[in-house]
Order: sequence, then structure tokens, then C-alpha cells
Amino acid sequence: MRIVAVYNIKGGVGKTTTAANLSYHAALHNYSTLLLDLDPQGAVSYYFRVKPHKKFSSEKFLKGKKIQKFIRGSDYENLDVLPSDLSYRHMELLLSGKKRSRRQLRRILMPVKNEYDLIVLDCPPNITIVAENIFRASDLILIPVIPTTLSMLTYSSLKKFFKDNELNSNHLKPFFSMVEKRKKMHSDIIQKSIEKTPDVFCNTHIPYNSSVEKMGIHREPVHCFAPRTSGARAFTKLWKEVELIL
Amino acid sequence: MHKRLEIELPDRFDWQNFLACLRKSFSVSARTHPECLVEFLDTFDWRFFKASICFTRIGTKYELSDIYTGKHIAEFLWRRKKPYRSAAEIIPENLKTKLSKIQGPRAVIRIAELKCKTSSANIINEDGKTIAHISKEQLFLPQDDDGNEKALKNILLLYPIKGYTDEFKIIKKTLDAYGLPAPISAEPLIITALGAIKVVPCKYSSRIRTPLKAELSIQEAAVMLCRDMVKVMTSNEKGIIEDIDIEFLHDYRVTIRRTRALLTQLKGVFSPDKGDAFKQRFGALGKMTNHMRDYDVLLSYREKYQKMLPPVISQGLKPFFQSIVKQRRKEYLKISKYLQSNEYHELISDWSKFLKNVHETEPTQHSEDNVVEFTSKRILKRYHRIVKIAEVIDENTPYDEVHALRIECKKLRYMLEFFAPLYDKNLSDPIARLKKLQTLLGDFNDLCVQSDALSDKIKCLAPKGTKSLHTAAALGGLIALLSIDREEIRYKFKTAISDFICEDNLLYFQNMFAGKMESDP
Repeated sequence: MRIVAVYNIKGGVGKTTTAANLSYHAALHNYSTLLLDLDPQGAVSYYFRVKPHKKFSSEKFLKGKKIQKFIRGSDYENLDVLPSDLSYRHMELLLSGKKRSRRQLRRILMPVKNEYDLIVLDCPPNITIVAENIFRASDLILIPVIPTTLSMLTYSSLKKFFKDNELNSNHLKPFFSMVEKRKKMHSDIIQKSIEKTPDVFCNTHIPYNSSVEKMGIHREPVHCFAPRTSGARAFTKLWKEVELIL
Repeated sequence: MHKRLEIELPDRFDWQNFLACLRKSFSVSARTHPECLVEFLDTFDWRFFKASICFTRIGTKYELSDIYTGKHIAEFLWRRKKPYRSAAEIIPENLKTKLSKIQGPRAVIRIAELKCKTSSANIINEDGKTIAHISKEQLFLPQDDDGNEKALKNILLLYPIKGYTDEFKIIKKTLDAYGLPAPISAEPLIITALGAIKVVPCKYSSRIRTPLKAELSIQEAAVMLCRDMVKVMTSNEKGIIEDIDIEFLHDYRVTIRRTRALLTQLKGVFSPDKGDAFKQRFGALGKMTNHMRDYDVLLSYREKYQKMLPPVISQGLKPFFQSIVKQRRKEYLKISKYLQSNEYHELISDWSKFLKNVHETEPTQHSEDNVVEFTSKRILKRYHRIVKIAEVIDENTPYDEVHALRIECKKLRYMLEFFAPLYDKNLSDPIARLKKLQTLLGDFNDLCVQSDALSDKIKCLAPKGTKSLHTAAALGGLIALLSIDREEIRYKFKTAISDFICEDNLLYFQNMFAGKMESDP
């Protein structure tokens, strides 16, 4: 079992769409996949039309023992979803009262480790205890970065956080997201980063694309309703890169 | 995916009406599928079935799925005129690896087929999420010679979706209210298809597993073994004649060799004139297939040879392999013709008759000896003979002597495998020790045979011309590389031999077989 987190300190950078589309591609390529929605907003669960079980809550999630009971099958073969619940907003508080509060997530996922080849985490923004759990549990942390000055700055902060807290920064894999080719600033930042730090960012750039935005209307991965768009093709390419890393 | 459930439907079942009942509680999205023919594929020795994989073909679509869970494993489209057979024909590397891991050098053949008329529906909740899938399947056996279709099953399949148990309970209640029986675990489709044509899966094995009993006489046991070997031989004939894959000929040849080895080992069990005559006839049959097998082996190394040589030289292999293909074709036609000839059918029929009536003939020197006593003595004798030959083998021993050891090991292996059911203790341990040595000897022999075949080819090349030069260079390169590999194997002989003839193993054989001998056969 490998755990891939899609994370960024910033919100609105394309974490949820990436998590949804990568999970879909993994399942399509016969990886038994669990998409774990950790964001109390529940956007990725919404994309897959999955609501949490009435009896599910952040407390039950943190207990971990019976999470299988709350996992739901998606409309796609090999892909299950553990939807989030609004009570996840209290997760921070609940975690802080626990021993080894920064290492709970891996323990919670132990019961399902033999059931899935891959677990994809759709993460909430901000650096919190939840985020630290994600950092310690994941084998790969994908970071969608919009090619803007502020986004690059946030990425630098994250790297610094990893260094300061002796976390394995080799697990970090950024990629450019919501890229608008016509914007000079986007092209310049991408070009500069390739020159300065080759091989750090993924080769695939996810474009700013209306089809990706329409996932909220279709409530499906972009590949299912607009497979020929640049957005859909970019996610297919990104999955291939991720699969190689895994 | 949850396990599929199945309900046998009554004749009066009305699908549309049933959907209308479901629509009272859920949204239902229904569709009718075009009638389709599902072909079930496997290798002759059931390699996919043994790996719990169902391999199906519907038109140009080939799909691999788990037999029991229905979980999708892989799929591919095949638009060529000839149906898919061998993994070597597949282009995507990951799929090629996946298929060749399962089927090896074997080809897939159709083992059963079903005609399906399907209507399906997704049951959807208020969020537009599918919470269960149902399908009505009418299964038929395709038209027989008289043009009749045979109806097999009319079933409703239910596919619950994980995490929606409460909703599924409501669906079950609807079924109940509709007067349908309680659903049971669905029978895999491949089992239904095989059952309908009365085919038992995994029945074929090239291994001889005759259930021998200790109270039998050696002649009775030998007859049982030989009869089982006739079955293996004849079941491979069709595959050789139709040239389905190279393993048919391989299994066929191994069985001839086993039959001959048994006849050699059991001297005095059958009347000498009869036994020797059949041994000779089977010997001639085996010899007839030698060239074709050698060509099969060479062709199977085509890719490996190409990779062994640098591209500049490897071009020269193309004409070489083209000529091998032609020669193989000639040999194939010869063998295929012979297997359909009266002469061959006479051999099999004479042999079968002999086995059937042998108990009525005069007893021979050992025909009535007890099977355990007789074989124990022979097995131990074989082991001692191997020890004697093996003791003097080192890295400088000529090929012929190594070959003699290999043949002795084969004879012992056959004896151990034939008579394994007679011994209380499991014989897998001595067989495993022997197998290790045999693998090494086999690899060494393969390399010698390949080198010889390549050297022979060089001798036959035209003395002039660029083509010949390129081929000679390629073959020369290969011979050099193969000889390096061969010498590397030689250095491993010493350890493998001393493992097999060590004091421990000697004691093992003594304990296992010496106690079972009462008198010298």
C-alpha cells in the first residue's frame, strides 16, 4: 500500500481536482484505490456523489478501528471513497489531546492496508497537526503550485517547514497547476524554475481549463465527460508520472 | 466490489414491471445491451483458470478478470484477422509481461462459449450516485449442428456497492415483494459455461499421477502408468496437428520418453520381445520429432539472441531464423502427416491392445513381483549409478559424460515421480534435490545443443556473399557468448553434485528404499 497526499498550505490551487482525477486514473489502471477526503468541506466526496454515513464522525475516524464500515464504493471499478464529515473541522482539537498526536493517520489506515494498493489523500490547506499527520503518513506528497510569486513563496515555506522539523523532503513532489499559457508571468516562473531547479517539478503542468472547473457540474472526473480536453489529457499524463515515482 | 448475487428467474418474470416497482423507491437508469457471444479462453493446461483468472473475448475485446470476485484485471482490443493466441504478439510491454507470466509459451484456445442477452440497470439515489447495479441475463449455448440454441439460465444478477447496505436492504425487500426467491452467491459465468458442455476444468496435466497401490504387482502398476501415458499422448495429438503451440509437441515427446524409460527400467516385467519391440517403435516415433523440437527451441530464443548481440551483428540473424522457420515447417508437415497416418494409429492401437490383454499372457520373470519391492530396488540402483558417474565429473569432463549423467538423472526422476504414491513419506524432498541438479545439467545441455545447431548452420552457409558473411558473424558471436555461459554453469556442477551425492542424501535414499526391498528383482 502506498499513500499519496495532495497538499498545499494554500487553498484554491487545485488539490481536490488533482486528488479526484489521479484516484480515477489509478483505479482505471487497476490499482485498488481508496480516496480519503480529509477536508471538512467534502468537495472531493461531492465530486463522486458520495455522502458520509449518518453515524460517521471525526471521532469515529480517529478511533480507526471500524473505518471499513464507512468506506463507500464509487461509480468506478477499483475506486472507493471515505467521505469527510463536517465534524472533521474539530479534528485538530481531537488530535491535540492524543498521545503521539502527529503520527495518528498511519495507524488509522493500518486496517485497510491490505485492501488497497493506493490511498490518495485530499488534504485541507494550512499547516496544522492534521497536516503533520499527513506528512508523516505519506510516501509521496504532491503539491499543486500555481505559477505565481505567492504560490512559489508558499512552496518555499513548506520546504523550510520540512527541513526544520526533520521531515523527509524527498517525499515532496510539486507540479504546476492552473497554468494559463497566455499569462507571461506564468510562463516566466515556470521557465525560471526549470532552469534553476531542473527535475524538481513534475514535467506535467495542469492547465487552467474550463472542463476541469465543470467537474462540479458533472460530478465526475474530467476524463469521464471531456476526455479530449487539455485538462483531461494533463491529468492522464500526471498520473503516468506519479505511477513511475510510485 | 461486493460479491455478486444471483436469483433464478421464473418464466413469467417481467423486467419492465420489476423496474417500475424499483422506481417507487429509487431512480433507475436502465439499458438493453446487444446480444453477445462470450468466448472463454485458456491454455490447454488451464493456466488462467489455475490462476483464478477468467479470460474472455467479446468481439474484438479481450478481458481478464478474477473468476470468483469478477474483479477486472486487464483488457485489450485485438483487431487482427486471426484471434489472439500468444503473449509474444502483444505490443504494450506491461500487458505482454502480465500475459506471458501466466500463459508462458502456450497459446490460448477457446474452451467454452455462451450467448448472453442482457438488460441492465443502475439503481441511483437522490445524489445521482449508483448504489447498486442489477442485470437480467439470459444465457444460451450457441447453435449446435442442428441450428438449435440451448437455453441455460435466466437469472437476475445483483451487484451491491460497498457502503450502501441500508439501501440494498430496500432493494431486497422489493425483490421479496415481487415474489422472487432470496438471492444466493452467483456462480461464475465460466463455471456455468463449462458445466453446460460437461467440461471439467484443470483435468489435463502432462504429469503422470496414477493412483498406484502397494498391493499391486509391478506389471499391474506398469499397465496403469502406461495407459495414463497413452491418454496424455493422444490428448496432445490435435494440438500438434493444428500447430497450436510448441508445448503440445514437448509434452508429447516427454510422454514418449517416459514410456520408453519405464519399459527400460522394468526389464522382465513384460515379455522381452514385446517390450523391446514397443520400445523401438516409440524410439523411432520420438526420433522423428527431434528436429522439430530443436527448431522450436531455437525459435523461442529468437528475441534473446537478438538482445545478446550488438545491432550491427544481430541483423545477420534474420536470414538464419527465416531458414529455421522454413525447416520447421517441413518437419511440422512431416509429423502432422504421420500422426494422421494408419501406421501411427496402428502403433497406438497395438500398444493399447497389448496393455489391455497383457494380464492374460504367460507370466514373465518379474511380472508378479510386488510393485514396492521391485521399484525400491530399482530406484536405489539408479541412485547408486548416479553417484558412480557423478563422482568423477568436474569442470573438465567431456560433454558426453555430462550428458550420460543427465540421462541417468532423468531415469531416476521418472521412477520417483511414477511411483511416488507408493511411499508413506513424501517423495518431494528427494525429487527437489534431484531437480536442482537436473536444472543445471539441463541448462548445460541446452547450451551445448544450441551451440551445435548454430555450428551446423555455419557449415551449411554459402561460402560467398554478404548475407552469408553477416549470418556467420552473428552465429559466431552467439556461439562465443553461449560458450561463456556454458563454462559458467560447469563451475556450478561440483556443488550441485556434491549436494546430491552427499552422505545425508545417501542415507535418505537408503532409509526410504532399502527397507522396502525383500528380494532382488
